[in-house]
Amino acid sequence: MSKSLKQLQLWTKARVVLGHSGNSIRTQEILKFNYACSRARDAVHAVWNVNSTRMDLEAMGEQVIVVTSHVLSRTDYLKQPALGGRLSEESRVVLEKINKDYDVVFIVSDGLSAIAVEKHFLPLWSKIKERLLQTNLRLSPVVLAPFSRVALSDDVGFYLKAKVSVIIIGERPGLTASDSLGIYLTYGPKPGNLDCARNCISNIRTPDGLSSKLGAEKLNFLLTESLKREISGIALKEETIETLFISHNLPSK
Amino acid sequence: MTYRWTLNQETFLFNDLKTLLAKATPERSSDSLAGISAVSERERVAAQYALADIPLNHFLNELVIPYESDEVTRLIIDSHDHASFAPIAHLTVGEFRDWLLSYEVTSEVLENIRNGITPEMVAAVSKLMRIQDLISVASKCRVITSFRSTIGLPGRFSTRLQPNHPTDDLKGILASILDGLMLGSGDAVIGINPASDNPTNILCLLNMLDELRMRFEIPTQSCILTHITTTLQLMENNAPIDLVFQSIAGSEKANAAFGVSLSLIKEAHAAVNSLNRGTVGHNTMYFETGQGSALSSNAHHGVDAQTMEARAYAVARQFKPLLVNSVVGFIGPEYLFNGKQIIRAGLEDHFCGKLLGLPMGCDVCYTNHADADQNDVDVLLTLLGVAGCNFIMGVPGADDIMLNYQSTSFHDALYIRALLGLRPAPEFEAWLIKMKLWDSSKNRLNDPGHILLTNGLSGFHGGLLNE
Repeated sequence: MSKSLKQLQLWTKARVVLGHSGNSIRTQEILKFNYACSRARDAVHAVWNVNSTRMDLEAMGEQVIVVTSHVLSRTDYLKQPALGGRLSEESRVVLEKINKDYDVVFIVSDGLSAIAVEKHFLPLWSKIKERLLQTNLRLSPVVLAPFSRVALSDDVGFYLKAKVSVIIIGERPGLTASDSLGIYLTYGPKPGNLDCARNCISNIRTPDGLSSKLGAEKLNFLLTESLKREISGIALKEETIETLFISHNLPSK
Repeated sequence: MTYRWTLNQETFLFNDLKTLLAKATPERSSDSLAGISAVSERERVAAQYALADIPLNHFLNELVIPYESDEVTRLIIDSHDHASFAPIAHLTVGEFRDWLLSYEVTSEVLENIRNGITPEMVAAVSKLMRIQDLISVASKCRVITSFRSTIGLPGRFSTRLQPNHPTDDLKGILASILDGLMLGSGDAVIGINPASDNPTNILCLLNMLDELRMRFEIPTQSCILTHITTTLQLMENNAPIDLVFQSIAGSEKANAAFGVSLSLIKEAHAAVNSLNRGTVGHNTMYFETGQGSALSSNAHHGVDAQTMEARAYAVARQFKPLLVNSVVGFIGPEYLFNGKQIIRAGLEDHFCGKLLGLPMGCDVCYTNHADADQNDVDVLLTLLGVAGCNFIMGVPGADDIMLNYQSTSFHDALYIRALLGLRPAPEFEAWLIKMKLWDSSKNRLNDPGHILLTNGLSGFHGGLLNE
């Protein structure tokens, strides 16, 4: 059996068989790598147009609240994760005034990739709403929270007295994908919840990641089970959804 | 004990040794995040003055984490060898730096004091050292380990081949391994970070690696970087385990967050030793560490990230590992903010580990939200090569498509070997020559190196490659 070197490239997306100039990587490959890096870095530092997302949501008939964390700049956000996990005083006052009991609150944040939110949030939201319309859940206004960490969903859910808090957030960009969304669900949101109390759905993006449709299906499953069993996190494991996820992620070749 | 230092009539107070260590540390985001770093540059220098004045033997009396409540502290104190300590027992931290740099202190002298120094002493002196000091002293340290290949010999430089794949696809992983072997990578270990910790999946990977190694008679070792309990379970079922992997940290609580304890590591160490699979040597453990891991599990006890990292080395050296790898830029900018911080931390870790007698390698790396890029990787890689680092990672094109971060490529290893006249581990070099992949007269690759593909893969792994 004889295999040519180039065939290795069919077996993986890793950067194999790059050739070499002396001991070094060839120019065209360096440029490709730099381009992938530039997309990831631009995603981290891109600025989310919150107002545009707000208007899009309002056009879909949603009520929207914009809140702030303790973070004032991207540098703060990167250096001090804790600040992004806490609601600002002004926003807390705003939310306390609303003071209504909800089943679910949805929060949206740019997190580490504004590009992910701008590209994939609205399609995902449409799919989520399709499912929610079939339920009687009491939904809070959608909360837009720039410069936030996942833990902010505890503060927001707590002050809005929601049973479940769901945050949709831009994930840390890699070279293969810089525009993935993640969803984190927490039952009984309150300041100080541990990460093991949350369920996560990651890698939501088109075309290579988890589709909006499947993401919404997984969320719907978790949300229903979480409200029914009054739990979230490691206690809430779902084999049915896992199968769905694995079959979706099988390599296409 | 309280420490005090006055500079130009400005007096600085430090409440205890751990505060002094933290304040004396060159700036890094992890200590700022923990709220323990110096609040001004003057305070940092005052702390360095005060630290330089402390006798080394004081570190045996004032413990940064209490003996009663932490098994890592107990390990450090109980394993301290007073006879090895004797030649340096009279020195202060500042004098220790001068002693380390002196002509008289050779590789042999450093080897003789290894068991007499504690992680806190090493961390303390590193805080008074510039980058050239960290390199000078580390380059005098020699730590040689072996299993099927010998790592850390003078004039040698090794790599861990890291062929990760996002779904652990066997063909995908094999493609990266073949590419790496043909570029002279993999003499330290072929080590996979699995995407799934499912034991059946891990067993599949292990069997494939073992078959490949035997088919081509490659003098190296393989490792799946899964949790130690999974590896233990696989050993019970007679899986082909060469090395036991585990991430470790510098406090009992931080290790508990990793799901390990000293007794658990001891159990796995005994189990893997009993398999007796090494040929030229019997170092059987592979540990990974990184500044900030204790802080990330809120188990740092107010101790700075770099001192906690050095304490992790006390855990490692108990088990005579084949490889210890500081994954220096992996956990993100809240721990090491930029290239400057990553570069210094990588050299500190290499220095501290080597002085404590560990076979240090480094995953020279960064995430995309840190203020660092491949230029910073080149700088740290080159400095580590000069410092005598035992091994680095070999990742296809430096881009790990499973872990989503950037490290060093197969080509990077070729660069540093050629630049500094370093060669792979001797057993592996002989294999490369035998396979006609390497031209020993020129110390460079034969081009093209198709041989693994054109010869000998027929029927491999149940016809994995048949189409």
